[in-house]
Amino acid sequence: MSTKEMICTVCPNSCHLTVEIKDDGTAGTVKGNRCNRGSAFARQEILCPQRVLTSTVIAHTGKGDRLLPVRSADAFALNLHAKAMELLRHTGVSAPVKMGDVVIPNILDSGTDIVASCNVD
Amino acid sequence: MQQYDLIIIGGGITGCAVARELSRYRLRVAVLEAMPEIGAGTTKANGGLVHSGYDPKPGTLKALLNLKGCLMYPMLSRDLGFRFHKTGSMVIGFNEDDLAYLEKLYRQGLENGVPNLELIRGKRIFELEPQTSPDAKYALYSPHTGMVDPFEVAIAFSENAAANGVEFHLSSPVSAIREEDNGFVVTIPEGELHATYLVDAAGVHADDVARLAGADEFNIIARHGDLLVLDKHCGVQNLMTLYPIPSKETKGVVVMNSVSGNTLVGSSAEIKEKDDNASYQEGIQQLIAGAVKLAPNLNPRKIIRTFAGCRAVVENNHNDFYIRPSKKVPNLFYVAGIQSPGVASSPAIAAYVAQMLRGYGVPLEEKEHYVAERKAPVDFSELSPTEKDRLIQKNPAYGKLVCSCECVTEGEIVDAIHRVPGARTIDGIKRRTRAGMGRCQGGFCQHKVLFILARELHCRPEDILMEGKGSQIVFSKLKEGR
Amino acid sequence: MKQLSFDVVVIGGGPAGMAAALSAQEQGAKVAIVERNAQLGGILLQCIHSGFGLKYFKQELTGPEYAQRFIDRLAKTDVQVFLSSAVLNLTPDKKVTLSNENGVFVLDAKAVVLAMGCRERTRGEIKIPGDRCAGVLTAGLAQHYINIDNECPGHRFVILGSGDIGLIMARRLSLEGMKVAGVYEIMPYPNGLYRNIKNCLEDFGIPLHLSTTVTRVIGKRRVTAVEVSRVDEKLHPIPGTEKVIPCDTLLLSVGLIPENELCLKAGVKINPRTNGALVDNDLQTNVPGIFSCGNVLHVHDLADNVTAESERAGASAARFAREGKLPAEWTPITVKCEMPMGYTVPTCIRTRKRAPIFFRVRRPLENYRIKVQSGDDVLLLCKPRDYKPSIMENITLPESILKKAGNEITLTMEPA
Repeated sequence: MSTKEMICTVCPNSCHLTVEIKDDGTAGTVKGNRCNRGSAFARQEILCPQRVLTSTVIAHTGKGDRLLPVRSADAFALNLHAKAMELLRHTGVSAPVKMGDVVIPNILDSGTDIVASCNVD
Repeated sequence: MQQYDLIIIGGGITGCAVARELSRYRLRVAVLEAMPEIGAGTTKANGGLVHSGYDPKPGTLKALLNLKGCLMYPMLSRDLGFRFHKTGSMVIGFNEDDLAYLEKLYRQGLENGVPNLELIRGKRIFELEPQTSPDAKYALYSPHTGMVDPFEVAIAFSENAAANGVEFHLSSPVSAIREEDNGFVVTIPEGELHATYLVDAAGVHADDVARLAGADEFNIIARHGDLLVLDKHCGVQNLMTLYPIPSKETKGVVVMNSVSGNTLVGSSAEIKEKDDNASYQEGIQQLIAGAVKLAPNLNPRKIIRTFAGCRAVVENNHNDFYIRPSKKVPNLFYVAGIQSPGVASSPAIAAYVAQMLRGYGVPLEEKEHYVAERKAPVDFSELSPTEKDRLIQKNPAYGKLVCSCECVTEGEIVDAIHRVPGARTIDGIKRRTRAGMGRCQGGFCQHKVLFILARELHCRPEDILMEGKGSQIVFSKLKEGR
Repeated sequence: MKQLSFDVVVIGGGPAGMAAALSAQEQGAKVAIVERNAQLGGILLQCIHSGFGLKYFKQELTGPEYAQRFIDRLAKTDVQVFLSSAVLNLTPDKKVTLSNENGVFVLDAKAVVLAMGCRERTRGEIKIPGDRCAGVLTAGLAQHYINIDNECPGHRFVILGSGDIGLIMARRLSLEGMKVAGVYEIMPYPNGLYRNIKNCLEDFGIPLHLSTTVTRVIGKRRVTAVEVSRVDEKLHPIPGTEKVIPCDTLLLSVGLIPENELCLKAGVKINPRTNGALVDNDLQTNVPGIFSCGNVLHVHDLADNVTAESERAGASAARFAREGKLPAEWTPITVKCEMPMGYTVPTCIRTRKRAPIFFRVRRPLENYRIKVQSGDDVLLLCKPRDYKPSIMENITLPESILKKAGNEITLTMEPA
């Protein structure tokens, strides 16, 4: 049994967490969190860190190409982000686009979609 | 091969002034400038002070041309549509030793023929400039001292010269010069040019150019100086130019008000390598200390930019200008060693060079249709609301503000690009229009200027330079989505 | 030249301006927004990362999403939006002169809300010596090139300053395939939120060097390297600790400054501690009917706080437009603060109702408490906790305490 220190990134409170690591590598008790989301975060962080990915893709509009900001609807495995970026680099969409429109569904089988962050006419 | 009667190497304020002067005559003249912009060397790194002429040693070329040049400025600024502010100046003394120096300077000024010089003391100092340090006791007051924007002057010279037929080859560093067919063949990247006469006005590189022409006659050393630019609100405003008593170490830190309303502090003096445009910590500290001594209300926290440049000093020439025909190569003329007060002297240097050429036998016949005046570009920020509205109705590009800090519109930027010779780089736009010269230093507008340049010049954003070769701002597109 | 009349003219269409306009409009005011860019949203449009809205929408949004929600709300109102329009002048009698491609307009306003945001500190202001080559740019400009213009502004970066923008940019650059050699911070502590240090640096293996700063820029035409040096307690570079870090770009994230040129034109007094206007608890400046909110007032770290503050400013402005003045009871209370508290907003309380006071501390404080005094009377002693300069704090003074205060209260921080 060992412990790991980490800072919760769920919200700007940035709680300082102390996580017990069990012999099987999973998280035991979590201390220092001010809310329940903190302990869930710590467990996930030990298992497989997940992050929201934000980037841009090309949007073709009547007035030429521009960048459309996009995000993953939810956090997904950090170790897939580099690969996801490569996909986004070559992705293009056609305007009009509405905020929330799916740009790439279920990216890399992560279970989350890449969606538009704003409207483009 | 393009044929010219005369080629001027160097498109700084000196080369452009000479070009403008010679454009009065029936000569085919070209100016070759290594950088993509006019005035991109020593000219740009200059405070813009038009000294009145008491400082140079009597009897020198400097003394003669400084005084003459300074007195030419008021009329020239009207003809060429650039800003000249006759601010006047004071050299400030704090004690009796300083007074002795001021008296010496006063006598020297009289000897040089500087008009209206006055030695003053006490209350009069503060009537003339209330923001002067309360410790000031004595001053040498010179009412003819002025301020210009040195690149604005160089650009005005170049545009007027171009309007009178002078051809400008920018981004044209000279790589070889050979004597041929009763003249010179000059190699630049676009090819070879032929000229009967050569004028070497290449600033800190004038000696290198001379050597290319086979004349190893002088050496240039670069005297580096730092300068500070402060926000328009920096504790002092509209300051009359204040000089200190020079010490042994420095020529003295001058505090002045630019024609655009920024307080400037300049400049330190250290021998460095040619083309060293770096700012130095020691120089900056020296300037701040010197400035606060003269104008204690100046707030050093309001510095928005530091910059630096090198004055061209001809070795073993007693700090004087070096304007003469080559002794070794016929038809080659030097306009070299144009250190301070080069800006003040430039119009007089041009006239002096014309006289020298005539004396040498260069045929100078006046043109019939010489255009003596140049119309200044529009300064949107200076127009009244009604004039602004009228201009926008005529050309909506003046309704697109690009630089908020200095109130510069797209119309002005497009105009700067299409004038002859026109702006080609981010810094060229900045110096012509002030876009990017304000508090945010281009943080909000550099990208806009970049894309306007690319659009107007029909090139890619990555082809746009900050100034010199290799100074690109962006490199490639990030996203390639189809 | 056209003349138009409005109850409230809001200058700036970023998060502050949009919230102020919506709130004034909800109070029944006829409102205009003047925005210099072609779209509403301000700097949010280039902040494509997430982390916005946790307080206000109880949901983590990206900058464009946060902006879009307000843009959508505005679209449903009759607020008149002047896009691509630059404010050329603002007078104390609240005439706003603007220009756009259609000409020059004078908007005659009963009340004005200043919401112009802030700008970044530049190389000149922090006086980094060295060559003056291409490749030195502020983090915000790099962010614009990357997130809006689709341009790559460099290949190998050094970032100076560990504020949130610098950290966020470190991650953006890494994700987009550029190399970040390191983040350098002159202070002995990081200036950004911990979550950003973790998510933006640790996730990407980017080193953070504290008590270290850039002491020289090297490169004739484009940056080829920067020299960094360790600094002592007085933040002076220590000779002998210089290291040359090869890079082609130096990114500056060295602070934000409220953009207050217009205030000076209108006679609005500036607080030298914030570089924003001096305001009372209605966010009104010394010029009656001119209000200020968001980053032009004081630099915030969360857009959500900007929104909340700006809604208050918009409501105050609408009320001023309607009634010609704002209620003031008794004598106003001057709010002062002492180090290590850096500033307060407001600096004056005109009504003795619940008043939130925002502030920042100047250095990290462990186990300190806020003390509110009026003369020698201690009116309030808060529970001790830790404070960081990077986080804007607030304390709400209840009516009961304000009633006990004299003409002046002083806020301080003291160790518990």
